[in-house]
Amino acid sequence: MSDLSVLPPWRQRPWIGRDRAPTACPERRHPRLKWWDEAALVALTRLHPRARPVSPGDWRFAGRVIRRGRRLADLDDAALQKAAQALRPALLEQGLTGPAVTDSFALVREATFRTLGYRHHKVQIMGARHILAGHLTEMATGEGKTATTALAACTAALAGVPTHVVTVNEYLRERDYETLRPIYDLLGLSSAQVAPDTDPAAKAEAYRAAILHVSNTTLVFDYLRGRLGRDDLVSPQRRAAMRLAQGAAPPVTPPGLSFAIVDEVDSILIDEAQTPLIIAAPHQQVGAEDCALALSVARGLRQGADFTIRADARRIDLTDAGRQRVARAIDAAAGLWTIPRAREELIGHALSALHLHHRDQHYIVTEGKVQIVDEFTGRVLADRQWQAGLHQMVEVKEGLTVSEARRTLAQITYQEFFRRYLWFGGMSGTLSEVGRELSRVYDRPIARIPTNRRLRRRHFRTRLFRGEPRKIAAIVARARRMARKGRPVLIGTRSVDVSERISVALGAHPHQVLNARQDAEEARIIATAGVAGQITIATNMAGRGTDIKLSDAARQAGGLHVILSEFHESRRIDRQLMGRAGRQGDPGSTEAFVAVTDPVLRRFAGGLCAFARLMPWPVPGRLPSILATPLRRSAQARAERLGARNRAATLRRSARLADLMAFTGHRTQ
Amino acid sequence: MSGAFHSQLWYRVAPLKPALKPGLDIALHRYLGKPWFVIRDPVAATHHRFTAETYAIVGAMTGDATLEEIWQAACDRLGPRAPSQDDVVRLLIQLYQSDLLSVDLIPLTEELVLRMGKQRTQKRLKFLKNPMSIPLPLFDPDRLLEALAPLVRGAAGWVWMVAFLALTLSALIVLPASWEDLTAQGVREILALQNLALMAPVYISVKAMHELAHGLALKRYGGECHEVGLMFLVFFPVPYVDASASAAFPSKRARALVGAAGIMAEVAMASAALFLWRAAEPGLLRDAAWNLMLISGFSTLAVNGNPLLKFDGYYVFSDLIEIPNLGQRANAWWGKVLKKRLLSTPTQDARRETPFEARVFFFYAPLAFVYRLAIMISISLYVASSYFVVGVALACMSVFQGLILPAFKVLKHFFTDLRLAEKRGRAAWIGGGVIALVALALFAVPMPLRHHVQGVVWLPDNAYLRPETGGTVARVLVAPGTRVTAGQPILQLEDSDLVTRQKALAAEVAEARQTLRIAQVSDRTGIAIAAETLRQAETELARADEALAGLTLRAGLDGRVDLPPASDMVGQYLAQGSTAGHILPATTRSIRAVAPEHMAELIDRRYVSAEIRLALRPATQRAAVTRIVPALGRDLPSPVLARANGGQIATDPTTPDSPVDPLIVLDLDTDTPLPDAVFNGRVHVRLDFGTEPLGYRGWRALRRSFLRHFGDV
Repeated sequence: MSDLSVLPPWRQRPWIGRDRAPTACPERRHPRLKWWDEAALVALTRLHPRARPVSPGDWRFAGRVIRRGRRLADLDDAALQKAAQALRPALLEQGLTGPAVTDSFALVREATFRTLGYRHHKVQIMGARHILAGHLTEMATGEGKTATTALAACTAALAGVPTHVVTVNEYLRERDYETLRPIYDLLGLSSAQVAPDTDPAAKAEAYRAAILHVSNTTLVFDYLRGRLGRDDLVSPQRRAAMRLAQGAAPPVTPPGLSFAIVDEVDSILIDEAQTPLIIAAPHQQVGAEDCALALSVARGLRQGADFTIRADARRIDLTDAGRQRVARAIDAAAGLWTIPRAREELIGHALSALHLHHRDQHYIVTEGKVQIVDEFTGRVLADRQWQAGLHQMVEVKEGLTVSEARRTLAQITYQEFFRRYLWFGGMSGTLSEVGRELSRVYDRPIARIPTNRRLRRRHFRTRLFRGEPRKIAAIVARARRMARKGRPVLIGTRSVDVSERISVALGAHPHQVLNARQDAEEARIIATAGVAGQITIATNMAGRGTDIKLSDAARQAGGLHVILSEFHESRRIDRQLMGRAGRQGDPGSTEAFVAVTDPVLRRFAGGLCAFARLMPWPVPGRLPSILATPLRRSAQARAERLGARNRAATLRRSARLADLMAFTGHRTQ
Repeated sequence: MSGAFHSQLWYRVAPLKPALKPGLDIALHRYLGKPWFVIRDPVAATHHRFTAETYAIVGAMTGDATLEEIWQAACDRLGPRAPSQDDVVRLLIQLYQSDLLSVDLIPLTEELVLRMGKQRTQKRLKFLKNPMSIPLPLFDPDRLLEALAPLVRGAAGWVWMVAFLALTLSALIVLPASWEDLTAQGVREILALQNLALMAPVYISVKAMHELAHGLALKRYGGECHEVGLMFLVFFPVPYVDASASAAFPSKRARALVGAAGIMAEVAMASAALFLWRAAEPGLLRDAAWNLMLISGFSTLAVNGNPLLKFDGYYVFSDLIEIPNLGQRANAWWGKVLKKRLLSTPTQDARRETPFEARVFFFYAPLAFVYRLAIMISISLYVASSYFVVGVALACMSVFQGLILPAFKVLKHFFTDLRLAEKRGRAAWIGGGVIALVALALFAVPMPLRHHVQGVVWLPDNAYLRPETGGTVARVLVAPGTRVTAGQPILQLEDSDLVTRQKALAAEVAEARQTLRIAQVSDRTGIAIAAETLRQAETELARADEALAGLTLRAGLDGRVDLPPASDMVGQYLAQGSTAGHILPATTRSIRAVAPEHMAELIDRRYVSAEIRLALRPATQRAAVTRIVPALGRDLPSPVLARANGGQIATDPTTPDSPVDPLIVLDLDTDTPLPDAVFNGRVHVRLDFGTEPLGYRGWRALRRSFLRHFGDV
């Protein structure tokens, strides 16, 4: 880093921050972009490659870290800790680009060796360097991302920056924290983890730790909860006024958004970007009779004449004829029903409960409750409700007792939340597809880190079917054959009901199912999924970060075989699922069985699918495999384009909304 | 924000305790039978209109109750007419943006700075967006008006009204009788420099009275007026007063009267001027009166009193029909109807217009649009005729503002509105279809291309009596008006010099002959020289004989002799080639027409046929162009063709025969001879150029006008 002098101060010490929000706690406010800024940004990101490869400087840096580490081998643990703590002033002064970082990395690497028994490879050092600089790094699955986190987290913590290590779920948070904690302890850094059910006092304590491990949902909810009703946090002036009025202001969790290391960053910033995280309080609004009445009226309406459905926009519109019909149908009713807008809204909810929300695809019913299933992860979103009215409508439709409607108190999307960090780095195995969008929206450059070990994963030819029954039959046959050879098989599905249909088709053959219903047994199912001859059917939940450990027999037989039962909206999710096979140098193979009737293909490449179906082919029920790739490309490209457009629109809308809602005295939440 | 009854944003506003800013005036108005609450902010000089339902919310904002409580109470009270939560959120946003709201919170500095910046930018943008009307505030006239107010308050106002009516009605009665005299003065005189100098003071006083009338009308009903200034309309200063306080008057008659007062003052002044003009002797006073009538009459009819432009007439009109914001709402209504009809998007708007409003909107929006655009374009063209670059810039700006900006807004709405996003495919089809149709109509559908020019009946060359040799008229052989046949002598000229010269030459020939004969005998070497001398002398003699013969003017064709009386002719010298008179044939085929120079290319490339019609006879005849003469000097073939004499060609007033723009001359021959054609009589010529799509013509015209301007530089 000889060019240190030319770097702007905010690159050396990112905590200075360029766009500090005028809030009481450190946060970033993304600069307001005019349309010409955005146009220039689009043009500039087009000019850059999607992901930058590592530079020779990175390799030299990794070499320096390794050489520096050799000298540390003869220090004892206490001296190591002392050396680490002694680095603080240097890091503070030089920032995260100076020679002190080399020392810090070397120390963490040595500490990792003493606690975990291995040292970081060059690729991990380079990855950590990029993360620390606030880049999003693409590292191949199974390259030891957890250990990479330690390098960046410890260095930032030594510089005095409160660091959040964010994982996608509680299982990974627990695993990562338990793995890395000895390193933190050895270096004398305070660390903590927060579970959703941690009690508030312990949480407040944990949030003061130098390094905090937390799952994304917990973090965001704590952030919202911590700022609920706290007008004083909105501006330093208000905080000062409050101090004058009441003395000391109560503490807040988390006490600022400084630096985060986000694992599976594409999942959070792209797939779940628009999911609003809502804090709600119980609030009675809609009665069961109203719902029942609305549903019965809605059942009498005809699609096309009385209402129109936009499946991809997930919305239903009443036509004028429909409105009149509704008005006639509820002639005698009173209360909300007399207000046309209110009753049309109720009917709208009823219609979408009937036509847009399908059981076992969008929600499951367990223990007399409607549980929403996340479309991307396939997990149950615990304690989540659809908007007031709709949720109750679905409950009435399923004949359940109506739960209390809740009233929103605060809400935020991941998209907005992570943009508030002063800076953040991230990792994922699949970034390059969305690199441009990420670097444009979050102004985080993308770096691609090479793999350490050669990949031993083979991909078989995709098979294309005319319809689902044939496809399932073929999947089952293939799974049985592979299992008989002694290989563990993972069948990935997009929805709960498909996973159950395959399970039924497998019949007596021993297998296990992992979907939203079996949430609790996740750890056990994953642990046994690598046993020889085991067949596991899983929804997307088995994708991100799931490490299926192979038994020796299974490795001998050829490793895990992954079967994709359908293509997903995005190539990244396909790749994530396939990435379960062949981890860390293990053998493995993947293949895809898809039908032209699959929802994703039909929705995003309907025309091509219909065309493909016309093609004669000698094998009954099959279509030429050569068609699968163009179909997938076309469908996924369209889906991702739509997604990107939606995300950009959401962001623009929320910025505009913030402007409009300025009169509330809060620009956000 | 999709018009839902329960808003997703409600949680953010429900606990607020908003209050209206203190010091607002609130009045109850009626529009089309419905009650409306009008809130006027005297500080910002703005006013806002709320329905009774909305006012149930607004009026309850006292700072004590939370919005949730206010809304619940409104729902209980209004039942089916209750505003939705979304309406309330939107209302709050609107109130905040109009600076009517105060919330019990410490304001965010950042927010304040942002708003300040935004307002400043808007002020600047206003300047840029509308360079055709830039306001320049001058002073606060309130005290002056207050001092004059007793003149119009109470019964005094009625006196003015009666006087106005009497004056205007009597003027209307005498107007038809004076119309012809009034209009005798042409456009050229209006724009002549002396008149402009006279016009300026008249203009200033008329406009000052106009604004004073506004101000006084405002005062009659107790309004306040705090701003007088100059508005630069197309860089031309026009005074204005800020009469926005009238919007708060509950009576629509009062509001309309304030708006109409200016026009009424001008009409009254014009009426008075009419009587003055009739009574006065020609002179300065009479001219001033004439100008006054022109200014107030014209400006009232075309601009100020016209409801299609956003001046006084518009406000009076919208007050009278009780539809405030007429223009804006008409445009919104069209947008909504188009969206519904073309894209079949469901309407979310709860506020429906009455059939009467819908009818007004239906006609108003397109009419106003076309009229405004036409006015802007014609102003630009007018300016362009003097200051080409400025005019073109103005025209560009008008087109940008009138067409491109609205189109851009529509497109933006299209691409940002979520409800429309899914109809984008259909909209693209419709838009593409319209564009394709227009393009097809412009560039593919052949339309007959014809031009109409004027010409005169032209005589064939041999109909002219032109002496081949100059000489003095000795005898008129045929009386004017008699029929002659071709070759018949008409005039005998004489030239004694020529006769003498001929005799001398004859002698020279005789001498040369003698010399030759001598040479043949005695001097054989001189033969060649003598022969040559003889030949020369003979040639010269022949020439002189010919010239002598040329002294007799003969008819070139059969026809009637057209000559001045013999008494005038005899003794007059006629130069060689000058026209002494004509032989008018019984029939002719020749026509000479003139056309603008740019038509030469068209005639050259696309000419198909021609048709003529004599001005005096209705029948048409076919003809053929025989000759095109470009750049034939700068003189018209006949004065008949000049615009001053009923033709089409603009001529320089100082030299009536020379056209302003370059011309070409076309000679045509008719298929059948023209019977009874009057020489120099007007002929209408229609040139047929086959067919051509309209787009190419427009392009040619555009290119021509630019080439002309840049060609002249």
